[in-house]
Amino acid sequence: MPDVFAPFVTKLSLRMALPIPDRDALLRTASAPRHALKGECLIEEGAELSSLLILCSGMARAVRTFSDGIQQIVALFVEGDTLNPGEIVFRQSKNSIYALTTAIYLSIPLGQLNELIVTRPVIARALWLETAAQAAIQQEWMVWLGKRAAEPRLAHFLCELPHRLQISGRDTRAAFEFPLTQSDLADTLGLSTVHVNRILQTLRSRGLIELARNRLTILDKEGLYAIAEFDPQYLDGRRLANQKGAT
Amino acid sequence: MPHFFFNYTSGGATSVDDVGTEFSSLEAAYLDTCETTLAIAFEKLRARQDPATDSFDIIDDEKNVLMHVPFSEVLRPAAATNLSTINQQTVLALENCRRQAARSESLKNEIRAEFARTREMFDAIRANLPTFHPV
Repeated sequence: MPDVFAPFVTKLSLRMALPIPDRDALLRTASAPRHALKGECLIEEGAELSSLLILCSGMARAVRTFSDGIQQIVALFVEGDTLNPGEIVFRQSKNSIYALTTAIYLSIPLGQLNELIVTRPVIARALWLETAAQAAIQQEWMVWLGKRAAEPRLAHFLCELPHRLQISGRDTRAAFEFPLTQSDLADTLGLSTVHVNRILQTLRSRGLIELARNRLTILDKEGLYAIAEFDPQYLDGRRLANQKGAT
Repeated sequence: MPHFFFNYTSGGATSVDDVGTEFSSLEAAYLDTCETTLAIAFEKLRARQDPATDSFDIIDDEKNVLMHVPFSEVLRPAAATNLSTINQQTVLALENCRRQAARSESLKNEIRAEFARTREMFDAIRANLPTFHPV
């Protein structure tokens, strides 16, 4: 199995036991890895979708742009994530997806994916779990966007991202790449840029984080989790639920 | 894009921004600061704290204070119309200065290039002149 598949396979394996023949059948249908530059559009808003895209390395963001030019980042993708597991069902993209860093991604044509879903139920279950996992993240975002104050909102995001990277097999105990600018964070969290700047300063001055040159270090995980009231169960829980479901 | 810093003063204590962030212009930085002022003021009011004496200073890369933005000015626009107008005028004046400075720089470069061309031309003419031998 080429290394490029590793984050995706690591994530699938954490969620469920995917038998090797099924895993290989899924990966055989994938295109050759495609490389994207930072800022490159991977999926355009309104585009007709004909393939499932899997992000193998790097990060990407889904963006909705309003008529006055204001943007809202509606989702963030890390390596190992599928970029459109829900939208592929409706065949049309509601958002644009851009690479936040240089990225490598694969695509699986919808026709072949449909065949796999019919002939290999375990793959259907894996995609179901992936869609449910992304829905859980979206629901959590909705909660903190709607009901949380600015500081815990940003703190929650800073807790969630490294946890998601860990699920894809990345070690985030030390500094890790954090490609979002303060403006990106503002567009994600529904805050102004200066407000994001202010909260980052506060979190830094309390010794909770260090953010320099696009690298984030969580210095006091427990302290940050406490501010954010972060419970990673919605990220880990699907693994537990799956283990229970399998028995 | 220009880089700005946003020092925040509350209760007499100033929190210095040593990271800063980029904006397309001072005006964009000012408008975002006003938005931030409203958001912080709402949070403080919910916590039964008075935001009226808080303020932001917008600072450039060379540590010059470009604008002072008191919360009171943003929260009570009617009472601070004059101040707001002055601030807007300051923003426009600074933008105008920035444009003029950029234009001057561009003109200076053009003149420098013209001088260089002229100097080359003189050198070429000098090289082509027959050597003068006094009789």
